[in-house]
Formats: sequence, C-alpha cells, structure tokens
Amino acid sequence: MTATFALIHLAPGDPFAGALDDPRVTQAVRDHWRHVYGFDRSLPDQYVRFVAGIARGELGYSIARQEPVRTVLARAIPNTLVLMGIALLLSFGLGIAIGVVQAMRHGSLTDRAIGAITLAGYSLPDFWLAQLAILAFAVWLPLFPAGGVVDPVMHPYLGPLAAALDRARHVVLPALTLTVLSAAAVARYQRSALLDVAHDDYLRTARAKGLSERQVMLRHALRNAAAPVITLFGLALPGFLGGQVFIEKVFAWPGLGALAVDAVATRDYAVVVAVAIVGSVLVAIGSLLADVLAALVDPRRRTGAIARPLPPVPLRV
Amino acid sequence: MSAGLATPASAAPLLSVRDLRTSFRTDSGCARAVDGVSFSLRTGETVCIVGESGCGKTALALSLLRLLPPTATIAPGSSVEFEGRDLMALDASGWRAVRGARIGMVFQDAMTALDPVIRVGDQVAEVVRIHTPAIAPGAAWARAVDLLTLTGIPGPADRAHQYPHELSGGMRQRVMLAIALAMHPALLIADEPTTALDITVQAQILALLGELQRQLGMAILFITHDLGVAAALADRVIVMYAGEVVESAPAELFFAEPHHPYATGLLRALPDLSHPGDRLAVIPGAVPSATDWPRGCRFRERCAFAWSRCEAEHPPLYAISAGHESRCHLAAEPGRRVVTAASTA
Ligand SMILES: Nc1ncnc2c1ncn2[C@@H]1O[C@H](COP(=O)(O)OP(=O)(O)O)[C@@H](O)[C@H]1O
Ligand SMILES: [Mg+2]
Repeated sequence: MTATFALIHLAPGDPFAGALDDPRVTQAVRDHWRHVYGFDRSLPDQYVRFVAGIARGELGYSIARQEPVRTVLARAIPNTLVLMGIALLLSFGLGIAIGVVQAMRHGSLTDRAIGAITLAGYSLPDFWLAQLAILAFAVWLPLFPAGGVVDPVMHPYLGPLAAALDRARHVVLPALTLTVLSAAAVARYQRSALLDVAHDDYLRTARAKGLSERQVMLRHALRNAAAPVITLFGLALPGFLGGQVFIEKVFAWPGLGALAVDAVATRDYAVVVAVAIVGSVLVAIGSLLADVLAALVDPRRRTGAIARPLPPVPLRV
Repeated sequence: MSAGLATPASAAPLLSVRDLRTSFRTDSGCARAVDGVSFSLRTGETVCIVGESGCGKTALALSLLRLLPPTATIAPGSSVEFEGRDLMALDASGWRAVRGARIGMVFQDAMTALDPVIRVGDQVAEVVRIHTPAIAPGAAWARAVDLLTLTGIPGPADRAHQYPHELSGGMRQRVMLAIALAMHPALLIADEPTTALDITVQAQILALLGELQRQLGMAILFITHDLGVAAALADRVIVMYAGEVVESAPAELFFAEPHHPYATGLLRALPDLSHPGDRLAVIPGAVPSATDWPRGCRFRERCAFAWSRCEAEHPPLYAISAGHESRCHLAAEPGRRVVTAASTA
C-alpha cells in the first residue's frame, strides 16, 4: 500500500494534468481544484490522510470517473472474476492433463514436441498473443467478437438463452488467450513434478500390486506430485490479476485489469490504490487456499511434518 | 518348513528361472547385476537367497516381476516360468494378472515403499479392488482390515485409517505384508523385509511369515544378507556372489557342509551364540564392480585357496552331491583345500 502510494506520487503529473495543464486555464483555477481535492498539501500529510482513509474502509472517490471507488470496483470485480475463474479452471485442467501425458511418455518425441510448444507458450508476450487471437479469430476468421462483455447494441433485446450465449461468445477469446499463456506454465510444473517422483519406491509397489501404468499415474504419482502445482495455483490467483491487465485492455474487458491501466494513465490515485488492495487480498486468499489444498492432499502437511516446497521455476502467468 | 517335501518330485516347479541375465546402463558402462542365474522353487517351499550387498539380489527379485527401472535390460536368452507360463513373454495385461495376485512382493524399506499420502487401509484395499473388480468399496475395506488383523497389527480397524508416517517400522512392514498376501499368492518374494527393523521386531515378522506360510501354503523367495535369518526360514539356501549363484544346497546340508569358500566365509562371519567371546571372521576385500567382473573366478581375489586355475578358468557349478552345487574349482581338486588350510593354519 505504501509502495503503491510512493510509486504513484513519483510518477509525474496528477489527476488534473490532462484537463488543467492546458495553457488557457489560469493558475488560479488549477490551484482551486487542486485545493478542493487536497493535492496542494504536503506529501506526508497526503500519506497520513491516505492511510487513515483506508483504515476506515473508505476507498475514496474516483476523480476521473466522478463516482465513488466502491462503485467502480463493484462493477469491475465480477467481470474480472468470471474471466479469472474460467481461465484458472481451463489452464489448470489443461496444464495438468498435458503434464501427465508428457510424463507418461517421458523422453519420447511426443514429450519433446509438447515441451517445445509449452516453452513457446510460456515465453510469448501476453499482449502480442491477445492481438494475434483477435486478428485470427475475430478479423480473418470472424468466429468471435473482438472485445467487450456483451454485444453493445443487440444484447438488451436478446432472450435469456441468447443473452447467455452472447456472454459466452464474448468470454471465449480473452479466456483462451489467458489459458494458453498459463496452461503452458502449469504443464511445465506438472511434468517436472511428476518426473521428480517417477523413481519413488511407492510407484514400484503400486506396479507390484498389479496396477496399470495409467492407474499408477492417476492414483499415486499425481497426488504425490501435487504440491508444486498447488503452490503455483496459490500464486496464480493474484498472478492472474497482473496477467489480466493487458489482456483486459486489449479485449476491452471492463474488469480490474483494464481499470488499473486507465487509472494509472489518468493518475486516478484512489482507484490505483483500490486495485492494489484487491491484489493483496488475492495474495492472501491464494496463499490460504494453497495451504488448505496442500493439507488436503498430503496428510504430513496437516501436522507440519514437512513444509510447502517453493515452485521450481519463477512464476509467469 | 518342509511343506515343499509333500509335493511329488515329478511335479513341475512353481517357479523356474533359467540363465537370467539383467544389466543396467550406467555412466561407467554396463553393470551386469544378474549374470546367468538359474534356480527353481516348488509350491510351499522357502528358498533363501543370501549374499553381500551389491551382489544382485534386488536386481534378481525385480527382474522376476519386471519391476526394473528403464535403464535395465533382461537378456533375450533369459527364461522365467511361473505356474507353467513364460513370464518373459507376458504383455502388460498379463503382468497385471500376475503381480499382486499370483505373486506378492515385500520390499526392503516399507517407509518409502508405501504411498505417503494414502491411508494404509486404502493401500491394502486397493490391491483387493484391482483384482476383484466387482467388489463393493465397503467390502474391500473390510477385507483390508481383516488382512491387517491377519498380519498382527493391534487395533487394525483404527490403524487402517492412519498414514504410513504415523506407524512404526514394524507396523509398516506388516502393512506391506498385508498388501502382498491380500490375494493369497502362490509365491511371495520378500527382499530383505526385516533389514530395517530392530532384532525383536525382526523375529516377530519372521515368525509371522512362517505362520502365514503354513496357513496359506505359499512358496517364499526370501532375500537376505543375514545367514542367521536364512537358517531360521530356509528349505534351500542359494548363495549369490557378483551376480552369480555360487552355491545352492538344502538348508541342513548347507549349514552342515558348506562348500564354496565364500559361503564358509559368510558362515564364519555369523555370530555364534555358543561361543560368545569369539572374534568374528571377516571376509577381506569387497564385492567387485558389476561393470567389470574379474576374469576367471569372481571371488578369487578374496579367496585364501585361489590358485592359477581360478584366474584362467571361470568355474562352472559343480555338483557336490544330490541337490548341492558349488561354483568352485576345489570341487574338482578337493586336495587343495586340505593343503592350503594346513599351510595357513
Ligand atoms: N538402477 C541401477 N542402475 C545401475 N546399477 C544398478 C542399479 N540397481 C543396481 N545396480 C547395480 O547392480 C548391482 C546389484 O545391485 P542390487 O541388486 O541392488 O544388489 P543387492 O540387492 O544384492 O544389494 C550393484 O553393483 C549395483 O551397483
Ligand atoms: Mg538389495
């Protein structure tokens, strides 16, 4: 929070830079509005007021949008959660499945080919992939709308079923773009986690019991290799918020990410801070969720017998 | 344990291993861990495979069930017949019907051999469910609790809900035993099942094994580096050295008249409770490397009797008497043992 405050005040300009720094506006007018919103006070003074406001649960007022930050957030959060939820589910489902297939064919041509693809997916710039997706599936092959949550013209006239379909069509491209980017990371984690346990004795015991390779994988290996992927899941929750910043902007998806981009551009301090707070709440929720999941999967973690290991590669979603 | 004697001599053996060769690809070359091993096992019989660590016992056991790591190869000429079937020719589904059902296996370290994140009851129930697809989950669990009772775990109904890390080493090995015995296999392979346990628990497990063998009538291939354990269990003792069988004999005969210098060395290294003060004899040197077995007799560098023939000629398995074989040239020139023994005494 303090870091957010410091960063945004280090950036040049203030919320009135665009509107008031016009040479035709007199200095008196500028000073008047800056005084009304408190930007003529000293930074330490502004900081104290900032912290006090947040402590009271007041998120403040968006100058750029001329409405309370609470209202702005309430509109953006559901959009972000829908996109995040779908993309999280898809990318972890798909990523784990890919990792399992790779680990079962470890060293084969299939494994290496998929490895090359996931490495590419892992290193693609998100905004580039997003624009490519729009170009491919909205312009060249116009299967899906290029942006927005619903059809801006027709949506109010659609029946309930058609309206739901309209929403679904709009979520496809941004969700798929996010999924491609993060499923690649999940697959790489899952594969390396499975290879880490591949030589463990209990898998040999499972084979000695008469289990098929697939049963050995799904009943024993996957559960023992869950920890790194669960840790990744906990980090992915806030990570997706960051990953969605550019995706939402490109797809004109009115969520927290797009909101953050606009707020920074217009020096809308209160909104930037509010988004940062939502981000830190997601960090806490993600970490809590990861701990709960890890304890569910591994009984030794319930008693603190072993600690949650750190993920083997840095996170990028 | 002489249940095996009841089987007519003409009956085909339960397990028959011929010229089994297993090697591992390693950085320092091809490790010939099992190098031409042959033996057979009859229904109800207990055979102990004895030898120092590194002589290929585990590789042998894993070869029988094809549980080897991907770096291992079994040479094409090897043959393993079990219940009249050629195991080397089995496909994946054939193996699934044999493993856990007709052949049970107990591994050395039950701590790592049990899945750490699954309740032990479920681990026992799993083998029941795999081989009895129609069984209801509740029935499989009940069977698991019965099996845990059979292996002497106190409070089995509660223990079944626990995880491996909540059990003692002895309890874990009993769980392994319950898994291996769940489907009443014709053959139990036990690879040093008591090595990780303290001496009292070891004795309990061995007694339990003997008791269960009488109840279930199975054959046991028991692998150990401890001749004391072999003396307590074996109908037949097979001594392995450097990937080969160096001596094979009925247990009484083996302990009364061991032939191979390596076997006599192992016996002298055994603590003798009737002469507690004695210093233990130790065989000098160490097992050579599996990537580079010595020419001729593989034990010659550690042998007090070795002479020129031992370097020139790899000894075959000589027949000493009915059912007693030894891979030592002394069988052809028995006079040398007397001469050397007299000169070193
Ligand atoms: N996975 C493996 N990779 C390479 N070499 C192995 C492997 N397993 C066993 N060996 C080698 O094979 C030989 C026999 O090992 P092992 O069967 O484990 O002996 P034992 O069980 O009698 O102690 C040893 O020399 C060992 O180095
Ligand atoms: Mg071993």
